[in-house]
Amino acid sequence: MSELAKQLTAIAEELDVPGVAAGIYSGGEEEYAFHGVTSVENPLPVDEHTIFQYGSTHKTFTATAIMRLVDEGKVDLNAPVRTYIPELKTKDPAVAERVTVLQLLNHTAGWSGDAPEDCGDGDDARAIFVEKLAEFEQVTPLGSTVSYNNAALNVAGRVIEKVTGQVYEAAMTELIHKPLGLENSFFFPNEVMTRRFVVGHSRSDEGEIKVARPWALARAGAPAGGFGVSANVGDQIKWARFHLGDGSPILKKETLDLMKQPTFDMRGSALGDAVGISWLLREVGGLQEVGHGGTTIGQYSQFFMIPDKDFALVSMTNCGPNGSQLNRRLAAWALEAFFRVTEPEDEPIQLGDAALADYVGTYETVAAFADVTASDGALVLNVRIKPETLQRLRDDGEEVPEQPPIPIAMLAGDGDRYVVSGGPAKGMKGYFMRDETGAVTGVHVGGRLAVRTKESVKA
Amino acid sequence: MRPRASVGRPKGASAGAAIVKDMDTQKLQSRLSELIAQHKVPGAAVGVLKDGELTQAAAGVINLDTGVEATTDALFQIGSISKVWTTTVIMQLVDEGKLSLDEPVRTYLPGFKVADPEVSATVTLRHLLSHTSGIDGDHFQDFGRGDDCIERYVDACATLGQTHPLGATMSYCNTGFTVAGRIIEVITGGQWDAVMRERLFAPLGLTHTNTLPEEAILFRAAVGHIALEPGADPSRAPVWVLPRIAGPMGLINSTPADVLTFAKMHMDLGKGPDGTQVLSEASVKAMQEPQVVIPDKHTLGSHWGVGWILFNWDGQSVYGHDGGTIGQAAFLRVAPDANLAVCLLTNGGEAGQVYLKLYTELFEELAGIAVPQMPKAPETPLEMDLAPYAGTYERLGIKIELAPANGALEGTTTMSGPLANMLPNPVQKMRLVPVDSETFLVYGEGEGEPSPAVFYEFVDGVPRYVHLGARTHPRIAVQ
Repeated sequence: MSELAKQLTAIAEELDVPGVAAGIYSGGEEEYAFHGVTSVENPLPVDEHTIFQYGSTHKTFTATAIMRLVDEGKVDLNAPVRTYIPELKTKDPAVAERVTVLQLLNHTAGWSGDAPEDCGDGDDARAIFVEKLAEFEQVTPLGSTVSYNNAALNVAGRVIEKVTGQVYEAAMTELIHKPLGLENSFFFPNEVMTRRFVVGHSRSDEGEIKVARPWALARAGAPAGGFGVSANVGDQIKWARFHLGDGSPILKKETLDLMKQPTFDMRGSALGDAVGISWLLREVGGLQEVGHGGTTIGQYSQFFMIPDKDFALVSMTNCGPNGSQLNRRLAAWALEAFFRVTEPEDEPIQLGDAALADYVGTYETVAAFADVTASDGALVLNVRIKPETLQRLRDDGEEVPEQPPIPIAMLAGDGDRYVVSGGPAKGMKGYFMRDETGAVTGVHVGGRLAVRTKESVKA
Repeated sequence: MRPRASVGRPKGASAGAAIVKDMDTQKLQSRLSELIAQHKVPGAAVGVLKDGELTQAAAGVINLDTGVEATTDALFQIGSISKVWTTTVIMQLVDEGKLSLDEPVRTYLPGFKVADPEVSATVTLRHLLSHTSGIDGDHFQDFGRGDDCIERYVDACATLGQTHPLGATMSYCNTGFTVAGRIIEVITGGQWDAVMRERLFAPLGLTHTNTLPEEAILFRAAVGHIALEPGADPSRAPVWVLPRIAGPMGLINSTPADVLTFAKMHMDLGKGPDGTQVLSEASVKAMQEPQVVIPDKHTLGSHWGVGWILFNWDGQSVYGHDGGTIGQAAFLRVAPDANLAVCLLTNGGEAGQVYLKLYTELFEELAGIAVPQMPKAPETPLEMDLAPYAGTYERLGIKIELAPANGALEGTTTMSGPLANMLPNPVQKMRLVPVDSETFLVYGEGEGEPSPAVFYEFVDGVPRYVHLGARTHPRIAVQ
């Protein structure tokens, strides 16, 4: 048994993850390991053929397709999106005039990124989505900060449709999947289900593991990694090797490299230090990491590369929240084993009640409220999903788990940075934002900005 | 060995004490295993409902590539058995006074149009549900996964021609059932999938029945298998299911137990498992009224009812339906007087042979009914003039070209259109051996057992149609 397989099995057994596939690429060699089963209801051993949903990692596929169109002279990254989607409308009309293709790909469009929209399952899902964009709140000014934005990626998918004249999934197959030989990567449940595939699960605190429903997300969201975007671990490693390569046969080398260069800073965010062109960039122990993971209904995957070391790690799990813990643990092991790098433990600082009071209040996203309270010199963040969001999720057949309180601790230094100090999300970072008067106006949680509600701002 | 379950009663009511006469799970299981091995069927599940008691068995695998074993709770595609379910919902709407079988379709779909203006204005639901409209029946244009796909499909029927004049004969017509599905949508205001859930799956308490791939994927869903070249062993089909427009024609996924709960509702004159009237007694009976003679009485039954195929087996009335999708085949037969219903679901290979052998044995043992067998070619080849039968017979998507050769008719079947793109071989060689002046046996290249073809409506000794595969093919040219 390889060291990877030993580690994977040990971590998966300890965390009680039903099924996982992992792959490492390092200096020309590939290595894989598998553990567990596809489903607790219809168990089948996970193997090299097993298809997992890889969720938001697919944002980098959409961005790569756009870059191919850039190389072909059909798209200009700095051109307004309206050049390609003349009918684009946003709540703030000035945004629709000015938003660029690049801003769709680096999470700086500023409109609400997770607004629920039923756009059906038809070939016109992205076109309908773009029509509905006009109703989305503008949360932050265009181009002012990184706030994770699924909606913007869906609009980028529509740019691909407009420029190629093809439906998104068909265009992607031509632009990306076929030329790169991704024969085990799929969009539709109809394609996945004749093969060996996993279903997602959720694990309760009591250790009960249930199949997560429904299987697929809405079709409009495919460009951002929703719907049924799926692959085996081998195809994900192929994707990494393409991005570690010279761009052939679909991109110029300089275009490929450009995608990994910072386009916007986000130091302190859960997502990393900066965004490239869809890639999330982060420095760890002197290594430059380029990656993007994914979360769907009960499936949690990890994908990152260290280009300087010609290295990539992929792990795909079929359970949450323990799947994301497994991903972090496996990454920590790999960095230590391959590069002798240990991510430094964050050093939280103790703050007095007066300093903590700055952060206490209620924050809001389109889907949820976050209440920050202080007790015994520590901050706790409570997520309350809005009733209308709960209703929508339940209507979709989704089971919404209880949201346990999240203990957070402030970090030394500038920028009001915090780290989650316990629970399943332990180690996740974020930061509070202040306005020019120094008042706290928002908090970044999981890469998204929650804006402080008016009622909770101190007079 | 799997425990017996009871259909049509709450769990526990059967107390597990009832022993089905001459019926034994282990015996059913071992016979099914034998038959599927003999006929290269990757996996199958069967349910036998006799006097209200259900016996089930499953054998083989749901997917040859993954090797997942078939179980009685695995989901199979029941294919065109779905047509009877769509018909049942139409009849519920008839019960509610919202539809009439004899009103023109245009009463409900004002813009309805096919190529023939007369047919467009006068075709009724009764025509559609008994396959007598003559409208080209294998229109499979894909309108995607959107909720508007059925509406768009029906709009695209405007150019469809006639296989035969309205009401003149019968020819299996998938198209008509998606048109009927559209009528359900317009009358109820809901999408076909949702209406089936609300009006049938829920009241019948079906837990393993659904219509969409993203629903089926969360179950143990069987995958179809097809021969990638003539005579080859079955391999996993490349895609799981037909496009969504085919819903009302055949996209229900289910288990033998759930299909038999549906059948039992019909056997109980419309009463569901909890005693509620899901369909009126009058409508249950109306569906079993013969509407048209089936020219080829060998392949399916003697007549078509409303939705149901009607059989005369050994003097007894039997109703049922078959289903065939991309590599999956399904069979349902109900003998109400014998209080017997059998459902067999399979995922490839020579499923028809497994059906014939298993049903022959079961109906003989459990009800003393002799299932009619396929006609046999005479030992001494018939001496007859085959020239009048030669020619080209054609309907939408299928062209059959026949010429006399070596005491038989030889030629090809050529498929075209969207369905042909899903098949490895759009052109198939065939040989038709005469049994009598109307009936021939069709030997397809690489296929094991022959299937019948019936020539009919002779004018000056020359047939106007050949009926095979439940469809009629009008003659268009004499060679």
